[in-house]
Amino acid sequence: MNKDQFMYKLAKQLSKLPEKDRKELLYDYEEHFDTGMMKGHSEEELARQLGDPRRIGKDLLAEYRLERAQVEKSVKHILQAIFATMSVSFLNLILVLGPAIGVISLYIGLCSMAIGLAITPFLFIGSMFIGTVEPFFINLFISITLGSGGLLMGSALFFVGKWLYKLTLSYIRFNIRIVKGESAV
Amino acid sequence: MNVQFKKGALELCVLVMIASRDQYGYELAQNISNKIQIAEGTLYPLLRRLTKEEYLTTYFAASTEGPSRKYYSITPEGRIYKETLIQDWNMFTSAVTELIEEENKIE
Repeated sequence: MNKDQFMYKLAKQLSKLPEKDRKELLYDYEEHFDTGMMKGHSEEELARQLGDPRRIGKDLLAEYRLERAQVEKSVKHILQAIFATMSVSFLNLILVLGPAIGVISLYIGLCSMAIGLAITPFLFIGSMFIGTVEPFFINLFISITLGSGGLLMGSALFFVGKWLYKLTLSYIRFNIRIVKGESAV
Repeated sequence: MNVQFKKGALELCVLVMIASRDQYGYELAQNISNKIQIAEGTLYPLLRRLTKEEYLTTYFAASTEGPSRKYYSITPEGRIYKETLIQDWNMFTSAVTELIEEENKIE
């Protein structure tokens, strides 16, 4: 493999990134080749010492996604970070996918429960028009209680969500640090 | 050497070497792979992370042989982090050595 082939394979892993960021990531490897060649090493020799470009590309991508998710907090960014980490290696896939599915589905479940509870007063009002709210006061109070419970739960979940976001980031970071590149290093 | 050892140790080696003097990527890769067999390409994601975490900073400096190079230098936070890593490393290795010696005595 020569320099161009190495750089092409590396760039391919980063093809979804903005041009400017990709160039910045690729720069280090350009410099590595240039310096090594100036010191009299062949492109093939340098590429061999660097290791598998596909693997390095996956590492770089995961690092990049994590940085983004930390700086710009959004569901999209955290999902991209999760996917990028999973694709680093099979072990990462197992260690990230399981907890991710569990935690995300639990959180979605709790959110839908909060929404369900929060809308009970509206259901009560709705059923008043249809005429099936007897006994009136018991149903009124139940719906108000459930509704306010839902709102409380919703605002609690908002903070839990923020906390989960941070927790997910540190877990992914830990995961990358520990598992990264079992064949690459 | 066992792969698990290398992964944990690489971060420590990088910090120790940059703490002794500023280095550019290729130089650092050579210095490390002289002693430990690594895929040199994995150094750059590590350097990037350490820079993002503000343990390292980078600057460009001209070289006598050609275009300018990106140098890595350690920050005060990086020095503190390096010291903790060294402590962890020493504690870990002496515990392992102790265990091995005890086992040898029993045998």
